[in-house]
Amino acid sequence: MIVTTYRDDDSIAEISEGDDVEIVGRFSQGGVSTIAMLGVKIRNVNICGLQLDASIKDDNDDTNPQVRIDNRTVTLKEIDGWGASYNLSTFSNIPACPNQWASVNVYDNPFLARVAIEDRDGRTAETEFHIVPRCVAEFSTTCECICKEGYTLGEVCS
Amino acid sequence: LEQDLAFKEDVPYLPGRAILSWGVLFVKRLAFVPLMILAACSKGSVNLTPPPEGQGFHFETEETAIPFGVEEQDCYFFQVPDNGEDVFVDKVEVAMNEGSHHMNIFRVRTIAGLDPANGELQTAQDGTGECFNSANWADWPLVINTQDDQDKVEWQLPDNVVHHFEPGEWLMLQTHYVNATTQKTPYKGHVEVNFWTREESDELIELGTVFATKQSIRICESNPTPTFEGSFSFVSDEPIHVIGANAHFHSRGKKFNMYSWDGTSTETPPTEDRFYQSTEWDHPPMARSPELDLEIPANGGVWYNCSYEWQEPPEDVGCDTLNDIDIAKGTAEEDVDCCYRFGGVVDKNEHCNVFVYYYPKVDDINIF
Repeated sequence: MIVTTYRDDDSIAEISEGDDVEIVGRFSQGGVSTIAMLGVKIRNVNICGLQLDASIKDDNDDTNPQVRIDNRTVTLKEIDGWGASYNLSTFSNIPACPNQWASVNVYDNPFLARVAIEDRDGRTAETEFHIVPRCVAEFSTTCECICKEGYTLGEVCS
Repeated sequence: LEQDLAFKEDVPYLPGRAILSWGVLFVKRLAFVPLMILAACSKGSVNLTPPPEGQGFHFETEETAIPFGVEEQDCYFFQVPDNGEDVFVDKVEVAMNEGSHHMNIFRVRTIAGLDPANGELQTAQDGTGECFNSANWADWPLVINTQDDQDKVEWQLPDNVVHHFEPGEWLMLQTHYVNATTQKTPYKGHVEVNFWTREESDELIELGTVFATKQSIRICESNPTPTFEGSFSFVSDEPIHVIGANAHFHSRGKKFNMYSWDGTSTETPPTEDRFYQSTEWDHPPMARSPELDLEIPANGGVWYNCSYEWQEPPEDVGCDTLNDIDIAKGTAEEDVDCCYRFGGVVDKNEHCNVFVYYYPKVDDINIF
């Protein structure tokens, strides 16, 4: 199983320990939320109705390692012999910001990502490694505001 | 209920009448609607007696005709009375005419496409318009919501627990009326709300709210029974009390659960930790105090999941319409699958929305 991420420019990238994950926003539509997208590229499983569970953990704080999760039932798309997450709804959309949960800024700090799958036939796979969420340059002002440690809902971000 | 929730058969309506005062804020507007039609159609509207002067404030919407085939979402802006002092509310009453899909009240914060400066009432129909665009209230804290168009909601908060408002604070009341295939509006759309105030005290405990929604849901013909799970936590060194909860999805929705959660585990909590379940999309229950008073451990939160069963869309919608929406939202043509995506139109879209009320407030929490 390979873990993938969906980027703000609609491209999909494979990721592993220490890689960046863009926190994809809806700023262009006037929204103020950002999502970390984690998906999979996998072989030898039933790709229909697959259970995809993903989370990011704030292990920067040993005493309060808060977690954000997104679990969902997905049907992957067969691409070059792999079953793959291919559009937004087939990735786990982990609500990273507004940051009302982490002990550090959600951008530019490492978080522990966990991705697990189970297919309809009971086959399972799981992996975890650190990722570094990054704000996309075009929307960095708003992103860095709502993803900072201690953000308060409704805070003026301009 | 019979005394307070009287049908409004003999209340004269004056176009554009608005009365605002401390103690009672009372707004009635029916501009541009012929009075003869009003007399015929106002029968069947709910009516709440406003609080006596000095004991609260009242707001009510217009009576809005909803023609068959129309979904109307209206955003009304009004202000908390301003006498120079903070306002503390410990009881809220809401009454809605039958056919309401939901009524939400939010505190106005960042202005995007909805601005109170653009008028007291800003309407949208059939999914089009700023009052349908949830990005416009993405950081607007929830005040109160209900989906109960059968009975008046009367919620007395626990002792000393209050909504805390700034004097003159802008609020937005959003009504969604549906007269379509899956939901009907037999009379007119109309909502009334009473806010009952109390004196300030050192013992007051502020209420906090949570509004969480999953915008990336997609319920498709080839993946017909998906479940989506999410969570949020109250980052607090002390336990908190959840005293209100309800959930919102549309007619493909089969089961909506909420659980007490420790804030750190990544597995669905056990059934014994479940404190809310809805299996009726059009009449979801609202759990609230005094029956609901759930202590969540320090730094814990709420885990929720919403499960669906794909249905053939209504004839007047059809898969072609759903596929067009999907393509417009970025799905490649070869990947369309008669999917219901996130959105407010009952026959075309789905929702997975959570409303939670708790104390003491850490922060209001919105998750989009």
